[in-house]
Amino acid sequence: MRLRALAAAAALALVGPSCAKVPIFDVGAGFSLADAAWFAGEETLFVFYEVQAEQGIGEPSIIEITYVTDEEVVDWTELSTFEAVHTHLPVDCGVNALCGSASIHIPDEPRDVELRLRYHRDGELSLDAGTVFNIIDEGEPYSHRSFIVYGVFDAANQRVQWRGRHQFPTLRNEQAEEYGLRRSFSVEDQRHGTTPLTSTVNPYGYGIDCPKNFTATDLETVQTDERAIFSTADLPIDASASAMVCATSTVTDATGTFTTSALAQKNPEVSPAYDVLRSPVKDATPVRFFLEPCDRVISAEHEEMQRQRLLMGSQSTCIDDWEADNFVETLTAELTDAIEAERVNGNDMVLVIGLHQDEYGVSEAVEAALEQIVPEERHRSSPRLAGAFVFDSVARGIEISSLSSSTLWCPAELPTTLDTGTINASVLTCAILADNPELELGPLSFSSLPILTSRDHYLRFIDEYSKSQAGSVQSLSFRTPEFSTTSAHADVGPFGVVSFLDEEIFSADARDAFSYCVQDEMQYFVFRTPLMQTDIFLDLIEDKCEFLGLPDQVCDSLELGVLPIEMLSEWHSLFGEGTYELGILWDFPFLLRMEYEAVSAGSASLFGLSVPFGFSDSSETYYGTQMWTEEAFSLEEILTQCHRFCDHPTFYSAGVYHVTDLFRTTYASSCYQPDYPVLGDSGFPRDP
Amino acid sequence: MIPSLTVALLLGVARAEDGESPPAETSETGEAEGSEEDVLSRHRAPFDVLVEQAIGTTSVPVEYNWRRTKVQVAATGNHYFELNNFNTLRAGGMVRLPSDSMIFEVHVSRVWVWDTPSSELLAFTPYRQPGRPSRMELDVTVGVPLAEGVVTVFPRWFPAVQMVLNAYGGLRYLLYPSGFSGMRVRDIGSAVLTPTLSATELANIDETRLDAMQIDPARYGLMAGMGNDFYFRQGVFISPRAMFALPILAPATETNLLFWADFSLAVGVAF
Repeated sequence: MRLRALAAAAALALVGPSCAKVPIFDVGAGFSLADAAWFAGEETLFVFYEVQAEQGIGEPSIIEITYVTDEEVVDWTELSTFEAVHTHLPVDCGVNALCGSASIHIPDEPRDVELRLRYHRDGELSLDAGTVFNIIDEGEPYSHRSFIVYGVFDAANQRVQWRGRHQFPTLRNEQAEEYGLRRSFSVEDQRHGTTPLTSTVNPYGYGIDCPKNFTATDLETVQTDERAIFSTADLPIDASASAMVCATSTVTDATGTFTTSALAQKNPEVSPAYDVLRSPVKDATPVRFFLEPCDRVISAEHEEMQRQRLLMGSQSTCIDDWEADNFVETLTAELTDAIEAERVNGNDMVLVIGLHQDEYGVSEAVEAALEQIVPEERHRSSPRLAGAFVFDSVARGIEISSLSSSTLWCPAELPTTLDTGTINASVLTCAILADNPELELGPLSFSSLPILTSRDHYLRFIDEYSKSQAGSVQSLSFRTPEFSTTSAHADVGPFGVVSFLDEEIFSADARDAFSYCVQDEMQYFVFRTPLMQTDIFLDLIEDKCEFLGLPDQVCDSLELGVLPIEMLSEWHSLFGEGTYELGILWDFPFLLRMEYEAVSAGSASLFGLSVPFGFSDSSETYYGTQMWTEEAFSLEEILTQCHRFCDHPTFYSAGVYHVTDLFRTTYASSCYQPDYPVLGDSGFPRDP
Repeated sequence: MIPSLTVALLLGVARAEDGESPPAETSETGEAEGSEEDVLSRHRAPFDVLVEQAIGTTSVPVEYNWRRTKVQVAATGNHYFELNNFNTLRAGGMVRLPSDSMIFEVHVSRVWVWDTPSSELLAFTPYRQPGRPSRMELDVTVGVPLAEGVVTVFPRWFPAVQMVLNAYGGLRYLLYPSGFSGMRVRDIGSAVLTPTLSATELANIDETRLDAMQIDPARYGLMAGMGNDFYFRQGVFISPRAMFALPILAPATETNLLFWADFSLAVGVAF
């Protein structure tokens, strides 16, 4: 019984509150827009409204307006009962909203303009709006009328799309359209010519009389109730050089029609300044030498490792007499002979030297021999010696600075914070730690060995882990740019070089404009001009660059007679030179590409017994930048050149016509990717 | 009832023949009528006791055996008693599938909703009341017989009928024909099982709502109630019924119509 009573009580508790009457809810209506604007020149009051509610706003709800003029007092009247001056389409703003627009002919200036929502056309309750009211007196058409007409061109600059644009104090063009307002306009008497007609206050050139020297076309009159319409045909061929089309446009208003001129400016004629730079990079032939003392053995294991890393056979060049007075000359002669012997095959070369030594002074002697050959050879036309790669026995690096821009000396010591002045390509690519880092976990220890390491490191490593875990080189190749006989070069920084290969030249008119599109990755392109090569200019830069307020990097670059391509558009706007030569910045004279097998080595030590084990992994290393692997460098989207109409406005990538953004000033250092209108587009282009 | 009573009497005779001690025979006033009669009196029992024993043991009705019918079809009419200011009537059809212990029903109905003077006045104000526009409804119901028997009717010359008192429980699914317009088949497929109407559906059916109405978003609800079935010997039946909304699913369906009732009458034929 007790359970039944509890169940009954629970049922009552559930049903009891449910039996209440269904409540009523406030619709929560409010105006989000209640704007009115009266245009004196058109004798028209435009009204835009939007009411949002939480629910329940529908067809029975109406918008009412009241206003006063010197001639009449108009009490609250349903907005839709006024005869509309223009077309106003019904607008669907959603289930819980009511929005739209109206245009009322009011000859005299109205005041006390107010809007309100009547919840039901037969009811008495209403909601007043905080109405925003503006008066636009008579004045210039481009600024004192609610609708202007202008033209734009398609991508080919051959056909005009005439557009209308709403101008209201508180609403944007597309907003007015969204609230249902449609305007009718027509364009006739299209003429072409080249006379600047626009200004900063009237960028569309609306309402400016067409010059009489413009040439008439036989294009037909076009008319539309939408916001845009294309001309019925392309411009005649004789209009190719004309910068604009001027026409007579007519719009309707409460007084009848209003006719004035409208302008269409051609798009800037833009093309890539230089399409493609073909990469001259080709495989280089290694000229191999293994220098070692022939009368004694320093370390057979280390020698074996060096030969394996360089993929060399058993041939050797003896350096037992490295302390002899003529050692450098002798070695230089041997190297030169080998180079000349290879040169006849027509390929560029890289000198590959394995240096197996343990005495102080040997490396310096080899450096001295290389200094006799490599710097002088590297800027020659092909076939040439591009550079040298030395695999030494100790971590040392290069001491002769003139070699640092052409020779890779491995291994190198890691620089300290005090060595910033000696950083070169060898240090950046071949540096090794003073000792092999090792991770020890109880009886286990783990380590790995750089593939190009020193003798000390190597011997200690194989003593701990074994020779098989030191890794091995699978392939070794070299690539270098092939220089033509007209190539020109300039060293940049400690190891870079700029090459102007073979007449990569383009021309420009002084009135041209360039656009450089900033890329995510660093661009290895530079340019030079005749002015940069003059002695006067170079002297001026050398002496006065810092007084010109230019950044140090720019001054350094100008002293070499080159500038990065990013600065081409600014350079042209300043100097307007007619010839530009493109060059490529190489960060090193050759690319060393090495595929090798690295091993993560470990050993377990227990009771004095060491059991080595390891995990191998194939790796690939570029000793040099990967730009060497590109076959061509496309400049199509990086650097564009405007040949004509460069001071005209143009389209953004989103298809919006930015009338105040001229190509020359807007796109000098930003990407130019316009989206032009095409035939068949909607009559309502994006035009905020 | 007659065969059952006969069986009961035979059982009584059988018990007498088995030598059980019969009850003392009594006169109409309950007094003993002599020793010979005393022998039989222990076999006697009051008539109402015998009738009650017979009803309690019977398993099939007497006047019309609805359980043996295969299918029943009926036309239905409903009047809704919602606790808002809108009028609602419903008409439709019903198919019933009887079994030994229950009866299954499927209803398809059209629901008409219209204004009352109160809701018309409410539309003039900035207030709205939850309600449901005109629509289709699909009911799936289970009925459980609680009591049944043969009953006489008024006027007396009308033949006796088989009456069954059923308890009902079921699911009522609201279907707005214009609700799915413009929706993709995949969206419709996912919408039909959700307990509330989607924003698209609400927008689609907004034109059908009454001016003072705020559309209730519930798509379905549970109903429970009681009703009688009156079967005539020829198979015709009449079924008045009272159903009540159970607000058990209200948290999911977000309905504002928590409690309301639905009185209906069905007239049909059993086959």
